[in-house]
Amino acid sequence: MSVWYTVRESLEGFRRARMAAAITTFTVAFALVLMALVYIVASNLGRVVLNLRARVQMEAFLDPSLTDQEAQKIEDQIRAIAGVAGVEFVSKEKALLEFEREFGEDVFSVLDENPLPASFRIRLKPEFRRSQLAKQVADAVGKIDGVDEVVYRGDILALLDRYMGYVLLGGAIFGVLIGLGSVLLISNTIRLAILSRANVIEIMKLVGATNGFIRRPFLLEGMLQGLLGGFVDAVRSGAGGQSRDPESHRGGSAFVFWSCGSGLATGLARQCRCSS
Amino acid sequence: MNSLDFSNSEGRRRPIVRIYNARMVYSRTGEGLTRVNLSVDPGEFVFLVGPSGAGKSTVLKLIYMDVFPTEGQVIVGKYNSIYVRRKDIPYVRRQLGIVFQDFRLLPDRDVFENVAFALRVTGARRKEIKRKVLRALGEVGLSHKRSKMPHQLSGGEQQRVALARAIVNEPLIVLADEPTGNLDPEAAEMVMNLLLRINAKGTAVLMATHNVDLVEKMGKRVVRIENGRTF
Ligand SMILES: Nc1ncnc2c1ncn2[C@@H]1O[C@H](COP(=O)(O)OP(=O)(O)OP(=O)(O)O)[C@@H](O)[C@H]1O
Ligand SMILES: [Mg+2]
Repeated sequence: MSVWYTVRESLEGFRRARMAAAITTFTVAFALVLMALVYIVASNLGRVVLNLRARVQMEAFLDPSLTDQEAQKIEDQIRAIAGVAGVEFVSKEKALLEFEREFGEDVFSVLDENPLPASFRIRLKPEFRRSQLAKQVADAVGKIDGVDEVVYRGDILALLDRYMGYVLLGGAIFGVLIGLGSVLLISNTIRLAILSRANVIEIMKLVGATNGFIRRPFLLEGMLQGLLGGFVDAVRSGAGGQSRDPESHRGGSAFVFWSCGSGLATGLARQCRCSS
Repeated sequence: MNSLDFSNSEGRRRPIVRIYNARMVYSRTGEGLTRVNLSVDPGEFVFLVGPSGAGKSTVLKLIYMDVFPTEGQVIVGKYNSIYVRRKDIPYVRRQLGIVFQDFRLLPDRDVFENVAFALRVTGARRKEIKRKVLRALGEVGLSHKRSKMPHQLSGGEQQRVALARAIVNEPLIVLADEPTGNLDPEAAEMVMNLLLRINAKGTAVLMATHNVDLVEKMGKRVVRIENGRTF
């Protein structure tokens, strides 16, 4: 088995057809960039939505006549409700401080006593950050004696619930289209590369080359082109300033995966042509 | 016709190539060969002559098993067209040296590599490749052009490289399809003389041509083909 021939021939292939090799490489890179773009957009969108949902906080305002000790008992009752992840007590004094910090005004300059009620800030478990379930929690909290009013941005949750389905569907369709386009782009580039060598392959067969002998350097060359394409893509994402992003590790393995995959695809496509 | 006696181990002369009552139809045009009989002995020089479209190239294709007879059979060395498997075909061709009117060199590598390719496919060792390629190039008088690319050579030189590639593997027979068809008289004569010399060293040659004058001058065995029939 002439391993040395295969390796040298595949590298020679690069040198002999620099333009074609460059085009294949950049097509692969371009397709990878497109797919990476879809991935980045999709994952960022997902994160934005999660953040929005996490920001939705519930605040249960207490009857102003309650003492802080009585309020402590209510806290236990709230914690017992399904879907509650955490509870933070905001005393009348703290509410006042926050009010003054936010509005920069001294309440006592207008009023004689603190008008702000004590409250509990309730964090929901992630799976309860949907409008239906959040409403269940709010109702349950509202029924507790001593709770005056429960306030939260249920409208945001309702909005997300209503439209996220469409956004996800749209994103999925877009992703599939881009993926399909990339695959077509790569396979067509490969097909052209093969056609441009049909003549050479024909001659090689006349001289008595087996299909495997013809195929092996092409396979390796295809893998190298895929690898180089993946490398260009990796350099791009590095230059994009994402190197400190934890995603870049995933990008690294995706790079290996895609380069090997596209190399293999190249080789397989060529194999089909050779044996016909 | 040939002074050399090539005997096989059984002591009988056995043809390298035999075509028995071959009929062959191209599916696209419905044309091809009607009835072809041909046998070439070791060391023989045979001209295959006939007008354009008679089926000369198709006969050669039968021998290098690019096409297969719809009736009859073709035997090349130990391979028979009836029993041959697809993966045997490269090995059929390694027993042959093939030369075409249009040279068919690999345009992407130099003269040395073009000739070497016929040996590389067999898995020959590097030293052996170098030795044999240089010897074959020497025989066609092109050792000094071994680093040139095909497009840097004249037509006659390209055909001589093709000849070197055809003989480097020490084939049983050289098949030549109008090898001088694209060449000026001088280059044509040079290629013709090389074919004669190759034959004189013991390699059989089957050359297709429609140049009747040339054929008559040579005094070699002639097989005529017309409308897909040999006579
Ligand atoms: N690839 C092909 N597909 C279909 N028909 C073909 C093909 N090659 C040859 N033929 C037909 O088969 C017949 C024999 O053709 P062939 O090429 O063997 O003739 P030839 O004697 O070599 O002619 P020439 O001297 O012009 O080269 C012709 O009628 C031709 O049209
Ligand atoms: Mg012809």
